[in-house]
Amino acid sequence: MVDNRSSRRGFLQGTVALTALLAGGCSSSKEQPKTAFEDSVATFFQDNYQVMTKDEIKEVLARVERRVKREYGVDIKCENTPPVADVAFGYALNLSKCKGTRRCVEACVSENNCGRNHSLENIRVLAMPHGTMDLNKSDHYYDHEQVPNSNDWYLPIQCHQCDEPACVQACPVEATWKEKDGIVVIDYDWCIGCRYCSVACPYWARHFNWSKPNLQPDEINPKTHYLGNRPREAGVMEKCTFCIQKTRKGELPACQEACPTGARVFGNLLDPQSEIRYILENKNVFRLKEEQGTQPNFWYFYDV
Amino acid sequence: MFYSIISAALLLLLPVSPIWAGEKEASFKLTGPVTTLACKMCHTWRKPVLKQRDLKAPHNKIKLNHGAGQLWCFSCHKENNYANLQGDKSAVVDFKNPQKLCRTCHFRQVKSWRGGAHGKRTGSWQGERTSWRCTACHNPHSPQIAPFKPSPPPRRPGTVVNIDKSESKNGG
Ligand code: SF4
Ligand code: SF4
Repeated sequence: MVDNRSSRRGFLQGTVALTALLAGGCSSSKEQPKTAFEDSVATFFQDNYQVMTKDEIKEVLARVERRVKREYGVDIKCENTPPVADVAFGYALNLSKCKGTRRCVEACVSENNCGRNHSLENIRVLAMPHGTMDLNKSDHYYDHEQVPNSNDWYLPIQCHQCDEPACVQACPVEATWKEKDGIVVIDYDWCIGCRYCSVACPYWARHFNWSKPNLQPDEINPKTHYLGNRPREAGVMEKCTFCIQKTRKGELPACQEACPTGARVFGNLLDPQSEIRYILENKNVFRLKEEQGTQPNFWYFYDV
Repeated sequence: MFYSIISAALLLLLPVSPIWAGEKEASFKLTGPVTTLACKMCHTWRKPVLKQRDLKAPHNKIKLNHGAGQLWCFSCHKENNYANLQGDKSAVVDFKNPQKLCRTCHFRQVKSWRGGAHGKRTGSWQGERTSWRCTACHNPHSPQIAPFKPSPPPRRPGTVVNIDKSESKNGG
């Protein structure tokens, strides 16, 4: 099996080299800047991120940077910062504090280079009528003049980075998986766009790029991660990654930073001194749709 | 009389001081602007009005909406020490550590804040914690945060937006 795979890969690489040679007009492609054609051929034959070698990853990152430069005229930095050792990320959200301001959504869209035309928003803030927990009665298109509206309470939902992610089980090509620090990621170049995962996820956390994200050059966040906020192509799935490009460098996620009410608490579940651990140990916390068995790493709590 | 002597003696014997007397410093760093008051500029020569009243110039900018009418300037500021804060039952507290005063009433909130369930951390999720101090988010004279306009809602499926933003180029 392994042998077959590697020989297939060798064959593919040969093909790539040949195509590159033809496209580049017999010039040595190493010194020449890569053309768009060469890059798209190489991307077509690119392997799954999980099995790529260090050198392959380096090339892939450079290719992503070139593509964004070509398409948007913007210099970005695409990194693949690995998980920090002894860290498992968790999130807690205080429902007494959330006032439905949607500041988190706004910050998320601009941090994560989400498409502006199709409102691909990784956070959905549900306005829930008082006295019910029935998600069918919620409305996430609410456009109140002022929040909090006296009839509603607010329930923000994003990817819960489950320990038993239904999305990962559903993916037929292993384009999505759970990393060591608990973040569930997608290799956008390996995703075939079948959308099985978005059907499997109980939290509506996956969003599909039906079209190319309509990003203006000045809207692009140039600090990107391969598995996170690099500008996506049409036809791939995307989701919240707890701002992998920020949090793996010790920064806080954009939604936590933007929240004006302090409802959002982010941290390392393995650190007994962390605030998230304080909340899990001292507050009445619950998880959404726990009966689904996906073991989310996202808790809700109230001020009591 | 007898009982009060006994209880006074007992109090002296108590190893711990009453909760409001000593407050240990927060175990993490605090951030946010600190506004101190220039009361002294006038109130060295002008006696303050200690009674509750409608505030007139130069105090008319302060809208006191805290404690449902039960509180007054001198509930938190003391006539002999404008450089610091002091509640009726709290120790002298400097402006950088308002939680030591706030906690005399809002002890639940301050407890949550210490643990990390109220207010918020800033900078980094790891290493030494830095959190906003109480007064960074709450105006102490009117601590309730007013309602405001939410950010715009997501687009409903099937509606068209952003025609002007080079829709044709990027395929809508
Ligand atoms: S919330 Fe949905 S997308 Fe996120 S890990 Fe769980 S099943 Fe997957
Ligand atoms: S849309 Fe992509 S990530 Fe989701 S199941 Fe299909 S291939 Fe996997």
